[in-house]
This record gives sequence, structure tokens and C-alpha cells, in this order.
Amino acid sequence: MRVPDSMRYNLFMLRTNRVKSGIDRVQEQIATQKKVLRPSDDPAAFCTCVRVSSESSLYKQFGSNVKKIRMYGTMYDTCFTTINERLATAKEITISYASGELPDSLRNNAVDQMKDIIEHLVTLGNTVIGDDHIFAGKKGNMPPFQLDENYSVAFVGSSDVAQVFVDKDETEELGISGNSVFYDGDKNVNIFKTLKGLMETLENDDPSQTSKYIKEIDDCMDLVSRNAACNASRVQQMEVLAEEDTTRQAGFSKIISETTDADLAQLAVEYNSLSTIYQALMSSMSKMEDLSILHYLK
Amino acid sequence: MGITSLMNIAKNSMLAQQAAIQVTSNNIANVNTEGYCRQVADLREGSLVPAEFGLLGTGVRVAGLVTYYDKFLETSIANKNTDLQQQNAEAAYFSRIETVISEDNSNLAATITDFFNAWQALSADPTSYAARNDLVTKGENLSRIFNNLYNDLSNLQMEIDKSVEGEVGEVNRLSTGVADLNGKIIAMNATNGEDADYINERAQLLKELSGKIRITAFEDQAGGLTVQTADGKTLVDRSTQWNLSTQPDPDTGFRRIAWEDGSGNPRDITDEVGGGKIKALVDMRDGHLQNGFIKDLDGLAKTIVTEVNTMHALGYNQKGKTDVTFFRNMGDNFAGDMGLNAEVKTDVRNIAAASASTDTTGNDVALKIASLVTQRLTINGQATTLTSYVSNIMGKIGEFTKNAEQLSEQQQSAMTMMERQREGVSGVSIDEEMSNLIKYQYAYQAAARLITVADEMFTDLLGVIE
Repeated sequence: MRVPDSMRYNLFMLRTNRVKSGIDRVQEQIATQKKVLRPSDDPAAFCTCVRVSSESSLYKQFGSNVKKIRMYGTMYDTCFTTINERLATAKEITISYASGELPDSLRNNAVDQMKDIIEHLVTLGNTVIGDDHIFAGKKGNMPPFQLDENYSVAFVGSSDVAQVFVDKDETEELGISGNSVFYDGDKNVNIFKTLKGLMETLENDDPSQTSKYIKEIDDCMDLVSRNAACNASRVQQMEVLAEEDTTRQAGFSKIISETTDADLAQLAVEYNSLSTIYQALMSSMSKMEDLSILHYLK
Repeated sequence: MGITSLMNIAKNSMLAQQAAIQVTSNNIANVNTEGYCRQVADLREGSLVPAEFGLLGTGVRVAGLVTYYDKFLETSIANKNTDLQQQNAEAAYFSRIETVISEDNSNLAATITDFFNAWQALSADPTSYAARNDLVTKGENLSRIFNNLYNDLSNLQMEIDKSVEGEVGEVNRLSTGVADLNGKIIAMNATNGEDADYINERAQLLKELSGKIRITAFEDQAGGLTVQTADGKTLVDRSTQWNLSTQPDPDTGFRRIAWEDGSGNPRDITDEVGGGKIKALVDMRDGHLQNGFIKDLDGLAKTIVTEVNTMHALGYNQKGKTDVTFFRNMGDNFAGDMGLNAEVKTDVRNIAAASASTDTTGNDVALKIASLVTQRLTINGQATTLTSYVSNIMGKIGEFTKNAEQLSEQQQSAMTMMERQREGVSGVSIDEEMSNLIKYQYAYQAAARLITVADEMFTDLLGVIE
């Protein structure tokens, strides 16, 4: 078959361009350490990557919500411990008063202590994280407990609590309403009412009421303990979800890595192979003239 | 028979070899000329003269030029060029669309997820100004990405539309050229003249023309070529040429292609182009962009805007107001015009997160909107999630680009094979031409030597007479 010169050069250019584009591509893959650089490299792999990246981002947000619930949980736990400590103090005062160990001077002091306990519990009930009052339910932008001059406390927050997503189609309450922490309508428990009653009993020096208040304080402490247990359980559940999220994120990273990450060793071999081919092409082209009759006519 | 006839033989031979060297030189000069067909001087023995002992030769003459030209190969190459140019154009434009749409460049899926994550963040802290400001920023980012994508694809569409007009002009230029050459070839044939150069040139024009639009061509006995479009509209008949023109579509404003009949009346042939670069451009502009990626993008934007606005309008903002949309009201061009409602943009308290006027710090609406990202929604009649839809768009452009690039490479390989065959017949080989050059040069030298011999013979003869 006749091999005309223009075809020889054209084919050389065509082959050289193919090898050069191959080298460029491998270089880009080495530089980015990715084997899938654009959708057309592997449409299915690229789609998977987009989907998994979106899922990962979505679950990061769920993880952020879970983290927030855990953070609130830790704060609630601290509050519950303090509330119980303050109730225990109130109970101690009541027992001391019931046993007749409090002279008038100390009784007046106990009244002040009771006022202090009520004020402290109101402060705890109005605990703020960021701009959010954690016991206010859905009305987190305002303090849920209001204390008046008579030491009566009113709950002006919301009994409903905001929900947040912790997984697809799965929500969890972000916080705990102060209504369920300080009041239990079913069992007729009202922490502030009990403390106020106790304060008035001490003020009026009426020891006949003490046994009733000791029982009520026990009920109050029981309510707080129940809430603390619920909170602990919820925090534990969130920790499980957080662990799941960590595992899931690792899974997402693995899928993305397996789908798109380049095998550098393989690319290095490929690069060397293409470089050798390129050099061989250049060498053969530079010697092409030697094979022409022109070379012998010089 | 005399010494003079020797001189004549030598002279004719020198002229013939010189002509052959000239033909060879022309071949060498055109070694890199695309479409050139090599020629060889057809040397024939001179007429015989009767002598006492038989017929005597009178030397050599150039009977003509032989052009190495395979008509059928040229036709096959022209037909193959239609597919090659179509695939090349498709591969080039798909690659550009891919660059625009690819998630690495557009961040479309990531921004959609970020936007709905911002709603989640707001649901976790509905009174937070920071969360509301972040949501506005994410909403603006989302709008900007849709706007940019839409503008990039629309600009590409307009660029293609301009190219259609340019390519139609090229078709007219090429078909005019073919008609001119037809006239020259017919005239040459009538006088038995040499028409090889014209045929070569016409074949090149035909190849270029078939790269623009699918054509059928056939030659009549006089050498005139008739060229028709895929649906039988005549572009060239002997030396007469018919123009193509472009007319704006009243609905889209994009150019439609028309064939002008003998009276200059345009007839729309856009859908019958059949192949070539023009078909690729029209398909890309009207099909893959207008009814493809732009429609996909617009459908996606429409679903997001409609779903978010519907829920948002039912909710209550921090001012206790309802019936406020999150995105601004827009016409039919959702992707291109997407943007936030000015009320929301200027005051983040206008974002409605709650479901009741009495509960302006609630988060029910924010939660519902946040959940849209995981829900199956109807986008362009397809039930899917938002991010799945985006990944499907990525997959689609990836498949189209990959397929077009593969087809383009296949067509290129097939074309290379054909051109090798053509070059095998018509191409110039320097080695071959150099060998011929030596051959003709020696023959020329020998003929010159013959003159010297004849001259010596004359001198000897004159010497005898003296």
C-alpha cells in the first residue's frame, strides 16, 4: 500500500495528540488525586458522589441538631442537680423547724433562705443558652418564670417544646418545658407553690404544717429526679445517634473515596507508560526523514 | 530516416521528460495540500514511420495527464464528514454544558442542601437572628446559582443560534462554489479539456458542504453535479444554486432554516436537515438545551420556589404576619428570575417559621420546609427528591458528553481509515516523486546526449563532404 507523506505526518499528529491528551489527563488526576474529574468520566460514579455528598451534608445538620440537644441535656442535668440540692436544703430547714431546733432568730434566717431558694430556682428556670431560655418551651425568646413581690412564681413560657430533626422523618424535642419540670398537675406537685407555702409557714411560725411540706418537698424532688432520669435517657439516646452519625459520616467518606479517589501508584505507572510512548513517538518522528530517499540524495 | 529525425526524437524526448519533471514538481509542491490528487505525465510512444525495413519509432510524446482520483472514495469521505462534523459539534457543546452544570463548578446540589439545612438550623433556634440571616444568605446563594446556571446555558443557546446563521451562510458560499465549478467542468468536458483540478476543488467543497448539512450528490454525463438536501431540496443543479436562509421563530426568537425555492419563497427545513454540524447545532439549541437542561433547571427551580413559598405563605413571621412568600413572585422563568422576596431580604423577622399567629416563636413551618429536601416531590412530572433530581441532571450530561466524545472518536477513526485509503490512491509520496524525478532527469540527460551524438554525426558528415 502506498503511504503518502501527508498521511504519515497527519497520523503522527493524530497519535501524538491522543497520547498528549492521555498524559494531560493522568497529570490532572495525579494533581487532584481523583479519578472522576467530571461527570463524563464516569456518570454513575459522579451521580453517586453528588447524592452521597448531599446526604453527608444533610446528616451533618442532623448531627448538629443532636449536638445541640446533647448540649441542652448537659445544661438540664446541671440544673436538675442544683434544683434537687436546693430542695434538699429546703427539706433540711423544714426538718430542723419541725424538730423545734430553730429559735426565732434562726427561723427568720430560714425564711430568708427560703426566699433565696425560690429566687435561685426562678433563675435556674430562666437559664439561657445563647438567646434561648431553655425551660421556656416554644417561647424561648422570653424568661418563662416571673417572680412577684409575694414570692409567687408564674410560668409564662410554653408547655410545647420545639422539635428538631435528628434523622430523616425523625424529630426529637429540643428541650424540656419548665412546666413539666416545676409542675405536675396529675400528682398535684408545684415546686414554687410548695416553697412559697413553706416560706409562709416559717414566717407565720406554724409548725403543724411541716409534715405536709416535708412530703410535698419529697414529691417535688421525686418530680425533679424523674425529669433528670428522662433527660439522662434522652442524652444517652442522642449519644447513640451521635455515634451512629460518626459511623455514617465515615461510611459516606469511604463511599466517596472509593468512587472518586485515584490510585496514585496505578496513575504513576500509567504516566510512565504514556511518557515512554510519547518519547518513542517523538524519536520515531525525528528519524522519519532518515527513511526517505531524500536522506540518501544528500 | 535522417540525422535530423534523431534530433527531433531527442528534442521530443527532452520536452516530454521536462513536462514529466514539471508534473512531478507540482506533485512535490502539493505534498501537503489537502484534497490534492497526484498526477502523472502519460508518456506514449510517438507515431511510427514506415521505413524500408519496417516501422520506425519517432520518440515519445505526452499523451496527457493521469490524475489519481477515486470518485467513490471521495463520495464516501464526504458522507462520513457529515457524521464526523455532527458528532464533533455535539461533543464540543456537551463538553461546555458539562463544564457549566458539573457539581464541582455549579455546587447546585450542595447549595440546595445548605439552603434546607439553614431551615433546619432555624427550626432549632427560631428566634435567632443569626439563623435567620444565615437562611437569607443561603437563599440568596441558591437563587444566584440558579440565575448563573440559567444565564450560562441561555448564553450558550444564543451563541449556538448565531452559529446556525453563520453555518447557513457557509452552506450558501460552498454551494455557490460547487455551482461555479460545475459550470467550468461542463465547459471543459465539452471541449475535452483538462478538468482534474476543478474536480479536485469541487470534491473539497462538497466535503466541506457535507460537513455542514446532510446532502446527496450525483453527477450527470456532462460532469455536472446535482446536490440536494436530505429531504430532496436542490441546492445545486449544474451551474444553478439555491440559497438557504434563516428566519426567526415567532415563538422562541431563534433562527429557523429555510430553503428558498425558485421564486425566492422560503420553506422551513429545520427539522429535515438530516445531519452535519447544522443539525448538531439545532438539536443542541432546541432539544438538549431548550427542552433539556434549561427545562430541567427551570422545573427544579419552580418546584423549590413553589413548595417553599406555599408553606411559607401559610406560616406566621415574627411580626405575626402571614401570607408572605419567601421567594419573590416571578413569571414563567423560575431559574432565571429566582430571588428572595424583598420583605424577607430587608427584614429577617419576616421569615415565617411558626404555624400560628399566637406562636410567633414556633418552628413548625421551618421544620416542614426543612423536610422538603428529603421528600419525594414532583419535578417536571417526575417524583423524586431534589438532590436525586440534581444528580440525575449530572448523570445525564455525563452520559451525553461521554457518548458524544466516543462517537466523535469513532467517526474520526473511520474518517482516518477512509482518508488513508484516499491518500493511498491520490496522495503524494515524496519517495515516489523523488524516484520519478531521478528517472525523468536521467532520461532528459540521455536525450540531451542524443543531441550531442546527432551533432557529432552531422560534424562527421560535413567533414566527409569537405
